[in-house]
Amino acid sequence: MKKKLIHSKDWGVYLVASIAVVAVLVADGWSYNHNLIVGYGDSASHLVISRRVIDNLTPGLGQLGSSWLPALHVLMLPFIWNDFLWHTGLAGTIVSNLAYIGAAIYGYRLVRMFIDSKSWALAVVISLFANPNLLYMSTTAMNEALYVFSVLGSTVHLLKWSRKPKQYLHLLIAALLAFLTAFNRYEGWFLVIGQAVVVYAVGWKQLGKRYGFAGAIVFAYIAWLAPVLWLGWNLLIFSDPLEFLHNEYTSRAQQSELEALGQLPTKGNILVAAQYYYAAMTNVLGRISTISLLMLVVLSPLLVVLLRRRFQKEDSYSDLLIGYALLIPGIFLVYTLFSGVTALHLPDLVPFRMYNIRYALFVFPALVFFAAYGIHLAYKIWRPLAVVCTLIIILGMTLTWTIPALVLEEGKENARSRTQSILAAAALRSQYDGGKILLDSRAPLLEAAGVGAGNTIMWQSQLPLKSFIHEGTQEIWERALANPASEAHWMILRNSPGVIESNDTVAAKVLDSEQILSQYDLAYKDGALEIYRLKKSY
Amino acid sequence: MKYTIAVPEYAPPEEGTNAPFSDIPLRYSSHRLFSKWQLLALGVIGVAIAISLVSAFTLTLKVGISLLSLVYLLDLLFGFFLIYRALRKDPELHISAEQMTRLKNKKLPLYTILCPLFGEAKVVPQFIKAIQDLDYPKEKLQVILLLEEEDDETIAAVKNSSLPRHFEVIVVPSGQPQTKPRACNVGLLQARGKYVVIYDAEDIPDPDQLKKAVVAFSHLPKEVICIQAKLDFYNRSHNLITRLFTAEYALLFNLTLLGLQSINGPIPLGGTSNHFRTFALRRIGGWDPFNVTEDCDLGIRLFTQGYRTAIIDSTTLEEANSQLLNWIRQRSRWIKGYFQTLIVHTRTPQHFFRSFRTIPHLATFLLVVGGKTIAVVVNPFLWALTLVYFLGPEEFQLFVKSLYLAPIFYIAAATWIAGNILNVLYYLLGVLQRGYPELVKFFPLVPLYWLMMSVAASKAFYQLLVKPHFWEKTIHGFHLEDQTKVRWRFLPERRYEKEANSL
Repeated sequence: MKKKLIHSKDWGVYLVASIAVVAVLVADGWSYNHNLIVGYGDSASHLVISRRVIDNLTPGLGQLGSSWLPALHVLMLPFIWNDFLWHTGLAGTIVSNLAYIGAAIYGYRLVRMFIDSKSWALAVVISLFANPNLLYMSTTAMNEALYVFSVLGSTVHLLKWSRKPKQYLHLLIAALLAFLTAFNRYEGWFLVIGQAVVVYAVGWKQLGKRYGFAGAIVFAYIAWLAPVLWLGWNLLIFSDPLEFLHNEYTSRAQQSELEALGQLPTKGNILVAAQYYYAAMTNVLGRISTISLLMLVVLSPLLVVLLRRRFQKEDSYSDLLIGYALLIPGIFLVYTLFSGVTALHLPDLVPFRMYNIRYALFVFPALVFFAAYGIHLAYKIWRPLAVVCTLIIILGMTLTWTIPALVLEEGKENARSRTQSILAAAALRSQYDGGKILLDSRAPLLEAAGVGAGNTIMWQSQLPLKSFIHEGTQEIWERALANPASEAHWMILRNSPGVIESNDTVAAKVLDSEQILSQYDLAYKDGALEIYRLKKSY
Repeated sequence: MKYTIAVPEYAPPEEGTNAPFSDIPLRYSSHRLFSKWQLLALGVIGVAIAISLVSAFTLTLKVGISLLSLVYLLDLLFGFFLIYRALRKDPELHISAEQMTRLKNKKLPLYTILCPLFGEAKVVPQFIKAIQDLDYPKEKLQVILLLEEEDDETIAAVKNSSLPRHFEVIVVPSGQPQTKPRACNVGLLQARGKYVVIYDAEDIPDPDQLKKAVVAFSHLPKEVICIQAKLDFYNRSHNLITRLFTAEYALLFNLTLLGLQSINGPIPLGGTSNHFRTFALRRIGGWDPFNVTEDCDLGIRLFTQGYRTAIIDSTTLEEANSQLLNWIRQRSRWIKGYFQTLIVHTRTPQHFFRSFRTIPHLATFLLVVGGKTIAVVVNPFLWALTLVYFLGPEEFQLFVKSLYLAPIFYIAAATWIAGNILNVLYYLLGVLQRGYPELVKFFPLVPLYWLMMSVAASKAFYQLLVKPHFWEKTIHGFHLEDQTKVRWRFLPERRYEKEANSL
């Protein structure tokens, strides 16, 4: 029994977990010292949304909803109530840290399924997870680390299930992790659909058609529940199940503004869209790794067919199917770039700025899978070739440290562009003497930042969120918009003509009304950003 | 074929016992349901709730709803834990072919098979064949058919059958309560085997089940006095009810009971295919003739007396109840018996706490026997409340919302969503574990099955108050009738003919 226990434990898991803990803590320290824990504007919004559940004029889970899926916000709830963790953004850091550590463990388990040697697998996993872009995303309140964790986890359990298809615990865990994926990112919706199809195919191949169908039903029943619940939730909260597609702050709405400015070069050209995504991958994952990944995607099935005798009892087709599903988010993103729903900007391509470069991380799980699978294939062909493959992967990932980590750079740029909001938040905080503050939290209040700038100001002001009247405060918001003076002592809005003005509901209501404006004094102005204070006579 | 009819002498209950043909102590008997202590406690709680409702109506409802929500949450977590354990640990006893081949027929012990028959004339031939098919030396078998004195039809059917020599027939004298456990106790008095097993008349056990049980008993510690074989149905494709019933059994025997076994918790036995060490069964007093779900009660009672049950990888096929009213009759009896068991084992606080030894076991009993049974009664009201909440007037929504403290509201909502989703999932996993992937497509109908349970539970609750010992007889043999009829179905039936013909 003792012997079996020792045999069943893989010391590599503990080592990977320990290294991941050290790596992510060092990354945390670096981010904290450089004020980049909340670098991206989106991370501030994520923090605010989560905090609003407990600290709000109308607290409750009803605050979750609209454009972003809620997994990260829900997972931050155990930490966000703490003022220190909230103000510093560490509430999100904790979640992303844990996701990174879990992802590294699952990454190791995945690699070990194809590589027998623990130390060999360790070398591969360490080189993959030492990616500076992924490390930075793991220090902040963003959902990429969580995505990598859940996708790698579901892949590992699907692979285990495919090897013993009557052990349904693995299928169940895979489905639960897929649920988390689909509750975290919209890309995940397409991934889990693909995974359900893969479960059907693998189950059919292993046990017959009926088992394939039954397995797919079990998987889909859990994993597809995320989209169903989300649609239901939106119906309940907004009376529109597709509110996240219809509101004025959706990705689609933002991109139409970019298109008007001529900053959507990928729209309508699938090759350009693919080129942009490829460029993002080479910047985030490294050029060698990206080329290796694409070559393996193309060559793997050919090699499996040619080498089928050497695989003997292995079911390489099932493995490959599970691996190919991981490419779905990447393909989906290229399609969204082509259709103009998503924008991706890189510094060396038109319009020569940075935007959404982190999306390249959505193929990171595919890279982990194909790296391991590639080495496995090479090992079957000629053992020294496996060593060469491993060295290429390690070299490719090491080289990502020699080029600028664009995901981090984008975070830095976001943080730098926030000077206006820092000043506005400081002004608000210094002048604030009580009363409610009316603002549209999703509005593009600042010159540089996009939508959600109101959230940034709310977070930076360090005022209790109970002080704010925003679009998530239900009837109070409606009453305040109808008659601001009756509810709000303060108003924050963007006063500038242009395409984005219409996205600020407060500005749209107030600026045309002489009567409302006459009730307030302008307390602060920086560019188009204005803060109004209710006159004492009211 | 020669056989004997024996009518054992009626033994009047001794001092301190109140069960015909059984030594079961009064405190374990369902003869009288509530103890004085329980009535007092119920009275005090009832009065307290009434006073509280009058003086602080909303607050009382708030507290009640909060407690109920927490119980549901606990049940949800516990249910998930059990299923996870069952899938992760595989606690079922697996007997290898090698262990079976090592068994020497000469060394096998005498095995007693009890088969209570009441109104089962139709299935007698099927039962005789099933027992004859058992892979166990006939000279080491004592098969006791337990007939009821007034059941002329079955007695005639048995008389007209050519029974093998190792079969014995006992006609149980008329008396009350006329229940299966009473007949079983009569059989137990006559049992000579080292081990004893009970099979229902329509059962078809795996041929090697007795041998597996012998191997298992010889390897298990002495405190394991009961081995439960898994139950399944041979007529699962008969209609929608049998399909859902099969799914329920698959969940119960392939996941839930295994989960309970993995934590060494109290296991409510299935009604048949329970193998016992005979001396131990006698020591704990046999079956409670007044309990209409005597199997559940016995499983709990043996646990409270320091014994344990194990689940073995052998199956007995039964006839799934295929008629709705018949199904409701059977289910209402089971639920009534669960209520009886709950009441019997919570009679006095000191006994209650002492018998279950640890808090987790005590909680397990309360959740498995009490919680799930009460939930079946309460669920329809909560579903109705939920429907009215969503579809009803806004004032009602506000009123319902006002009854929930904010955290409780979220707990209740999350439990409601996750509970319903997971409980359907367990059915899916159960049928997959059992190896019936074709049943998976019926999973959207599982809530309908719950509704049927709730109807049966209402009947059970009513009967518990007005005729607690009444035995709702389940009619068997519909599958035999069906073999001779041209059947109209709207569901695919490829399997059924094959199964029926193989009987």
